[in-house]
Amino acid sequence: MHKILLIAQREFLTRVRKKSFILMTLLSPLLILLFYGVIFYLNIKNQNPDQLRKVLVVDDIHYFKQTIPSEAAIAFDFGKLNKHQFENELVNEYYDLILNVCKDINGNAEFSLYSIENVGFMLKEQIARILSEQVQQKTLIENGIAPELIYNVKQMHIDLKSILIKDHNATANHSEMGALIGFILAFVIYIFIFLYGVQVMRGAIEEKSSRIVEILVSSVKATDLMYGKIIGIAAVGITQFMIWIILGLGLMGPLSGLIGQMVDTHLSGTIQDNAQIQHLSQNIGMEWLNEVNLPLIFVLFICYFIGGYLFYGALFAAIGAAVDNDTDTQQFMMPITMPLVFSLIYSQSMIGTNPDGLLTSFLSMLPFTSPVIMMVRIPYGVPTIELVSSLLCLAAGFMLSVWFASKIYRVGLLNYGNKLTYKSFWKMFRQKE
Amino acid sequence: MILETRKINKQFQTKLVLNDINLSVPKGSIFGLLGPNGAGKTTFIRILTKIIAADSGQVLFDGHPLSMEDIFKMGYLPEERGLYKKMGVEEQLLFFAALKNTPLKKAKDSIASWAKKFDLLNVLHKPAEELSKGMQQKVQFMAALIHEPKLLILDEPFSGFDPIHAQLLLDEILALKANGTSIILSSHRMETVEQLCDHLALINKGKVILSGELKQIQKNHSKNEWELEFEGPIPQNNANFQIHEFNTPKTNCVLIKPLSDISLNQVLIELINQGVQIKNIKKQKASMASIFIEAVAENKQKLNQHA
Repeated sequence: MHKILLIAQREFLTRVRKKSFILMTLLSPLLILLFYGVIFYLNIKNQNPDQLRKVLVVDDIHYFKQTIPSEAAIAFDFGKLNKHQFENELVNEYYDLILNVCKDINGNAEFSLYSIENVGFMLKEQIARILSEQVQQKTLIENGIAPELIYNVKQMHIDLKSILIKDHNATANHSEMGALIGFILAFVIYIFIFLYGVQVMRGAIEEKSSRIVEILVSSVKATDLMYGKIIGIAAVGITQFMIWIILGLGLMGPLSGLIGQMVDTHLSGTIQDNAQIQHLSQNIGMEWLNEVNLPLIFVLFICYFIGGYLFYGALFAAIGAAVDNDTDTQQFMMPITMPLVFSLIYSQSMIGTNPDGLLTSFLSMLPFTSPVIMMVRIPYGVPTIELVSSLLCLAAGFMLSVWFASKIYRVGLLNYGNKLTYKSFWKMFRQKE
Repeated sequence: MILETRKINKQFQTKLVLNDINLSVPKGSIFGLLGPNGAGKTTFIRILTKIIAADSGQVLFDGHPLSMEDIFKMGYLPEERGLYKKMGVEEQLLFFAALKNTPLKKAKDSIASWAKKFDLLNVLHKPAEELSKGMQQKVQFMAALIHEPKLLILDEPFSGFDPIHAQLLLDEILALKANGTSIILSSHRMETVEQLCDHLALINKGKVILSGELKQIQKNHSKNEWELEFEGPIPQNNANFQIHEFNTPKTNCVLIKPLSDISLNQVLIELINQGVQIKNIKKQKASMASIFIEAVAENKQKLNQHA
């Protein structure tokens, strides 16, 4: 045990002290933030251009009884102009657009938008939406509906609860929010296994190709060397995640303030958007917290996280020990990474459709896929028996993979320069100590 | 005896790599392990260092069966060796020492004294990849030594060394022996073996075909042949001896092979009668190279006969 810790300590310290580790740890969250920040900013900016469009409404038929309320980027003024004055008015650049209301041949109101530049379709849609609302409202009022009622109806929103009946027990389920949490956690497991599993493999290759390994195995057992490596690299990964979480929490305060400000300045003043925000905040309210079992999710996350990493880490270690250099790894990596990639893709489609299907149940048992699949399923509620057997399968799986890997590791590390095939893996596995 | 092996056998798949190896390494001596490529030397060493296990047989260390504890009393310089490229020299030496359960203080002192000896003091904090190849080799040698092992196992220690570094290494090996360290040395370089070893074993195709004290082996293999340096007329063949040219840097030097029971005195009388001026005459020592080649060839013949 002492030796395993020594190896793990070396793996941990040499990696953590590398410049690339510090750089990646600090830069990658910034890059991700920047990426999403830019998308978010562009989104908001698209909806709310800086420029205020001034629209002159020339209402020839006195269609509107009251003024049209302005929105964030559009202001309406009423005025009287002759059609031949339109161009002059627009060229003088006080108004960007002129909205003309007149009668068509059937006597219905006809709306036309005049401009001297092309009008973007987003802007046109926006004005059309405002006008439609005004027309609907006017029609309702004319038919004797009270304006208060109209306002109240607009604020109405229903919340569709989904309720699960099992063994005569009905439980409300907030699967959307749960699914999101589950998927994020599954994604974390997926990324972790990939990033750090490959590092275990690289570490073994490095020791092999630098020919240091025989010096090491004359003092430690090869299997201890493997355990130490897997544990040390896991520690590196956990450290990295911890730093990200702390950074994230630290940045959350100022950042949410900033986003709030952006949202405020751009969205204030519009009834429509305010209603949307209200609806949104209701949806992500704290209500779901009562029904999604967070402590359980967290405990299971830790189990699947560690189990999945050990299972895959050992397999990656076996490959690293058997091959001579990075380029040889590709063909052996494929069969290992395929199920992992598949489980992520499958879980994405599963969220929307069928969280309880037969294939899903099977994949939740298989140690290759269970860490990702189960993480996504847990928030939907998984029968305890299935959960326990899945965890047992995973435990058995990683014991098996560690045992398999340790046999390969012992023989593979001292085996140089041989062309590697799947058959030679089998030979290494069978070879006595 | 610091190390004894009894009937060590090892088989890889269908190939018998080691076949009943019995060897004894006396304390405080240098033991040469010789053999052609693929003879099983490295496999044998890996069994001694418990890197792999023998199929059958026993290894005794200092009189008792070899245990994991004993491994920490051994130092091993493998043939395939290297360093962590990005790791500091002192840091990795401390790591190796820690793996051998050496206390930190003792390891630090040992590193400092060896680094001084090898002129490495000012590179101790540098990553290994910044060191020259010769320096790296010295660091690898240090890695096998810093825990002050009772038994040092060197597998082809001179491979890749330039003559200056090889001499340095040679001197250090002799100094270690003088301090009481027992050493097992596997090498192809016969002149080194002759220079260093007290005992040796020759392994071929997994079997010990020759072993014992170096001097005794050389004595047993020496023949009635004499190197003669002369002036004046060139010696001629006659009924009592034959003259052979042989590979030597000296001029006017021939090899004299007396026939069966002719004594050196008779040979000298004949030569003087021929008018040859004798400058120097000495018995030709059997070189390890010729003993090696002869023994391997003999063994091959034996195997062929059995087959």
